[in-house]
Amino acid sequence: MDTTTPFLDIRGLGVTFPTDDGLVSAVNGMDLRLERGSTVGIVGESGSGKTVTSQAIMGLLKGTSATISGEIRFEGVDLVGLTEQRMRAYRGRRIGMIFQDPLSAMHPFYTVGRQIAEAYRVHNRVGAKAARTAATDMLARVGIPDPVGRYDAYPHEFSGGMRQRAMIAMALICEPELLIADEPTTALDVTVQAQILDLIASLQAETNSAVILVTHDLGVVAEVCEQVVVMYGGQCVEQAPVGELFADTAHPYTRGLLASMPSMADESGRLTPIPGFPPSLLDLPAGCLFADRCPVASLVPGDRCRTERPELRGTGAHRSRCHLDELPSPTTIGATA
Amino acid sequence: MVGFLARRLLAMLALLLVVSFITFTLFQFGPADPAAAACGQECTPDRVAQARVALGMDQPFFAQYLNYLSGFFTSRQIGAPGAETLCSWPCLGKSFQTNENVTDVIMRALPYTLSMAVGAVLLWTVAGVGFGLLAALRKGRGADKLIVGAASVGVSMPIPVTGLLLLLIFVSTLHWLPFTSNSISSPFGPAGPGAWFLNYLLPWVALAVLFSAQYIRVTRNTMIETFGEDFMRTARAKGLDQRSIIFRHGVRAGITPVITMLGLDIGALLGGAVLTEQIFSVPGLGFTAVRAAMSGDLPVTMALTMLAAFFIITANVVVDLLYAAVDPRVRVS
Repeated sequence: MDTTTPFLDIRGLGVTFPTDDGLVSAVNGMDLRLERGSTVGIVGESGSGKTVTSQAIMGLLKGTSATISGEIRFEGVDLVGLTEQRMRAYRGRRIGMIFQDPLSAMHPFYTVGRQIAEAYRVHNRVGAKAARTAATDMLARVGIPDPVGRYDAYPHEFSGGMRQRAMIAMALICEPELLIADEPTTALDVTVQAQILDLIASLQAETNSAVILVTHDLGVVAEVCEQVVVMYGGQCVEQAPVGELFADTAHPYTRGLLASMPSMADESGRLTPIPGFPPSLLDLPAGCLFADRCPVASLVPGDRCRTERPELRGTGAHRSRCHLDELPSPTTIGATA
Repeated sequence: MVGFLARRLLAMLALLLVVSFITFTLFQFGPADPAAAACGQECTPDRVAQARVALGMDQPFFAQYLNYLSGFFTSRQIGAPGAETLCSWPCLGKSFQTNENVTDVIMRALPYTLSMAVGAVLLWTVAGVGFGLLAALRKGRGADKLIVGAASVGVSMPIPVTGLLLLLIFVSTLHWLPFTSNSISSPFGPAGPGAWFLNYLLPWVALAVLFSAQYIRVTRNTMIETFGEDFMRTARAKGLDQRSIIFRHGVRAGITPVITMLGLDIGALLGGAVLTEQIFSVPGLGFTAVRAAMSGDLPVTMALTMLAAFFIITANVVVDLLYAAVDPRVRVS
């Protein structure tokens, strides 16, 4: 439908893992489109497939027991079909990644500076000295005081926030066009969280890179993202520009997620959790994956929510995977939720 | 670091003192009578009594012990009154059996044990770490199962079994290798390094079969654990090639338990591989220790026990230092 090739275009991504208990369907038909310079948040609870999706983009599932289907097109090139060898040219160079826990994500035996310089030297034919200079500059760019001195410090000698800054330096030193941040602030103090998000945003503005922010925290999404993808049971259940997601929530799961956020709590100060549990990824239901927990499934005529998996539909940028969307007046239904 | 070393050295001395005291005490209650053994076949009670005096065994327990300890600081005169001979510093006494200085006995046996240890340690480390790493990389596949299976067979083969089997096959039946010779104690001797290598090959293999099995298991397990670490994913996300990821990031982090094990095993092996030396008739420290213990040769047994303790304690200190060298997190404090 578009004439131009999207920067990142994920279509029908599926990831399954064989386990002793059977086949786990971690991602079931994930769709995502991302333009250069924009930020998308992937939100969902644990086990919703958001981390697996980000690892699939990075090609980190290659060589594991995972089976990947669908397409991940990066500037038109399908990354799913790339060999490990060819994928390496993308990792670090064109797609950078930062992880939840910077302490365990850094090698404990090497200095922070050396690890950043290593990331630089993988993709740039330079000597040790030039790499050291580049890494020191990068440490300065991510706001680490005394970068020359801190270059030779070990990860355990950094504070949590400084470690995550160093991690960002490591991921961005080759100026990748896409940054995947997997729960980058979850392990950090609340006061540090905002600083890290600001840092990511400002570096993104400098380099015009795209960012995928994986998080379970809608507050973080509201702060930095333009687009939001809500994941549930390994599927995208709703995708919308961030303002619309909060103002005009389409999917009952998203509504539940919003209601369970502290800032959205009612006057009594109580949170409203979503009752029930996510579906077992070993044995996905035939119908809507959220049907068992859905407060409005009974409003859909017949038993469609339990027999038929809804498609991701919608107008323009706002799409949702719910049978209710097809009913004549969604607003009246919203009131009952 | 200096304080750490000083503390460890003091602890080491204290420990050696305790070991020496326990060995000395145990010997007083042992069944062997050194005096009877020393006076030979035609023994009269009179000559046994003379021998006791000559060996210094007529003196009180503590006097004997202190006398023994003094040899660490100065030379001593040892022997029957009027027929004393000099035992030069460091004096660990004279053998009850041969009247040689114990230091000479040890220095004669040490090269054999070192020869055994050097090759065996190299062989089992290379084989153990190599196969363990391979098994970890091929986890769950055929090669892994084969290696793990072979390791469980290897670890359950006692040295007498492997040793005798090797001798039976390669020496007695195939005649590919010579039986171990007492005349070759170092690669720099007159026989040359080639003969030395062939001479010690079977003991090395026998020890390596047993030890590499343990190294395979430990290496495999720690490497599998390490490969699952977050920093391994980071290394991959940087775009590093497979070899850098496995060796520079994985092995570097996962090898520490192997270093610990290696240090302690080397320490124990230097104290004398008793069974291996017996089976291959290598007159090393273990071989000497067995002979001394059986004939009630207190000074030699004491010295070898303390030497073994010394090696093990030293190995512990070296392992601690290596740990600090490998893992920067240990260096703090």
